[in-house]
Amino acid sequence: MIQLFHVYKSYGRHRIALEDITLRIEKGEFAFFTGSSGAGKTTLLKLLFGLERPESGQILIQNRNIGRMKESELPHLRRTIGFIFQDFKLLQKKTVFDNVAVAMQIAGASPAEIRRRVSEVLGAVGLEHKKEILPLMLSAGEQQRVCVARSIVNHPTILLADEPTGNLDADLTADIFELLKTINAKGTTVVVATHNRDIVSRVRRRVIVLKQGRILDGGA
Amino acid sequence: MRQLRYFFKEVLLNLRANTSTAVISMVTIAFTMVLFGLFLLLYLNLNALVGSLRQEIKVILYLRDGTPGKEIASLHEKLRDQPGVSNVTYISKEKALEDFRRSLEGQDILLRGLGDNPLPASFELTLEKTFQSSEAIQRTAQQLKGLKGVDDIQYGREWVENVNAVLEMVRVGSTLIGLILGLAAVVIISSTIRLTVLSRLEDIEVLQLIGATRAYIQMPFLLEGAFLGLIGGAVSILLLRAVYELAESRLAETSGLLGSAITVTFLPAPWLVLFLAVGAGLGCAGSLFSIRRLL
Repeated sequence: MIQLFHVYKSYGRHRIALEDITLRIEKGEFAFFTGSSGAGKTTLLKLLFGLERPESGQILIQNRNIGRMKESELPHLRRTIGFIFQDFKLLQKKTVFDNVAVAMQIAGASPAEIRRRVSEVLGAVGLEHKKEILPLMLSAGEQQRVCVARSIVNHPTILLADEPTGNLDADLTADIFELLKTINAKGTTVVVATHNRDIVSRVRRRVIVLKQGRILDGGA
Repeated sequence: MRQLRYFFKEVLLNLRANTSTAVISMVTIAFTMVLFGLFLLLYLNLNALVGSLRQEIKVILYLRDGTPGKEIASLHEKLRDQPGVSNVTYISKEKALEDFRRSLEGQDILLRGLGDNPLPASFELTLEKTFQSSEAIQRTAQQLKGLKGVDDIQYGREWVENVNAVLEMVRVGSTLIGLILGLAAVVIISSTIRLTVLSRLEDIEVLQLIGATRAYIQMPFLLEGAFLGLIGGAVSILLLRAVYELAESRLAETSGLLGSAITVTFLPAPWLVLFLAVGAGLGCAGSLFSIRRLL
C-alpha cells in the first residue's frame, strides 16, 4: 500500500531531513511516526502527500510512484488521501458544513450526495448540530474534529495526520484518537506523526521511530 | 455544471467582501470603454457620412464649346463603355443655363447682363461603388481627360482626399487609444484581482491541500474579472447612449439652423454585443494576468 525505497531528502547542502528511508505500511494498518522535533516525521508525511519531492529513492502509494508524478496529477492523488493538520487549515469564512463540503465539491460530487455524506461525517465526529457555525466560534478540539471530518469525507484509502492533537488537552486528544481508531477499523490506513509518547503507548499500534532523518526502529 | 454553482457563489462572496475595489475596476473598464466608444461612434458616423457623400460624388466632364453633335454622341458612347461608370447624363449648354437659372430663382437680376450662354455642355458620370475611392476616381479622371472634346474634368478631388485622411486619422487614433486604454484597464483590474487573491492566499493553500486543481482555484477569479468587465461594458453602453442622445439633440438644433439634416446613428446591435464581450475579455485578461503571477 505505502512503500518507500531508499528515500533521501535534504533542505540545502547541510540539512539532511531524511536519509535512506525504506519502509512498507500495509493496507489497513495504523502506524505512528515518532521522534523528537527535527527527526523527519513531518517531512515524511509531506513526501507521502506529494507536498515535497524526494531527492532520490522511490515512493509508491497504491503502486503509483508519486515522486515521478506531474504537478498536475497531484490534486487527484490528494483527493484519495486524507490529511489532518496540526493547525487545522480550515476556511475561516465558511461554515463547518461548507468546510467539509468543499472537499467533495472539488472531487465533483453532486449536491445531494454532498448533503448526505457531510451530515454523516459531521454526525460521526459529533458536530452535526454545529454545522452552520464558523470555525472561529468552535473550540480547538471541535476545529480539529472538523478537519478530521473533511479528511475522511471522500472515503480516503489513506489518512495522514501531522501532530493532530498538538494543540489539544488530554481529554480532547483521547477523543481524536478514538475517532482515528474507528476510521482505521473501517479499513482506512492511518499514519500519524506525533512526538507524544503517552498517546503512542496508549494506542498500542505499530511505531516507526525516527532520529535525525533515519529510521531507528519499526521500519521495513 | 455542479462546480459552476460553487464558482458563482464564490464570485458573489468575493464581490461582497471587496466591494470598493470591485467598483473601482468596474468604473475603470466603463471609463475606458466610453472613451473608446466615443471614437468608435465618431468613426462609424464619419464612415457612414463619407459613404453617403461618396454616392453623390459625380465626375463632370466639361466639353469644349463648338464640339460637333457627332463627336458628342461618340463620346457619350465611349463614356457608357468606360469601366466603373454606372450612369452617364448629357447636359447641354441650354440645360445647364436652365438649371443655373432655377438654382437662382428669385435672384434673376444677377443673370440680366449675361448676354450669350457662357456655360459649357457637360457629361455627368456616376461611378460604381468600387470606383468611389479617391485613387479610383483620380485614375478614371486621368483616363477620361485625354478624350477628344473634353475641356476639363471636375470631381472634388481634394474634398474626397481630405475626408479620407480625416477618416484614417480617426481610425488609427481610436485603435491606438483603444489599445492604450485597454492595457491600462487590464493593469488596473489585475491589481484589483491581485488584492482579492492576496486576501485569500490562506484559503487557496487549503484548497490546494485538499486536492483542488489549478483551474478550480483560478476559475472564480476569472469569472469575477469577466463579471466586472461585463458590468463595466454595460455601464459604458449606457453612458455612450446618453452622450449620443445629447449630441443628437444638439445636432438637430444645428441642422435646423443650417437648413440641412445631419443624422448620427448609435452603435449597431452587433457592436454592442462586441462591446460587452470586450469588457468581459478585458476583465478576464486582468484576472488571468494577476493569478498567473500569484498562483
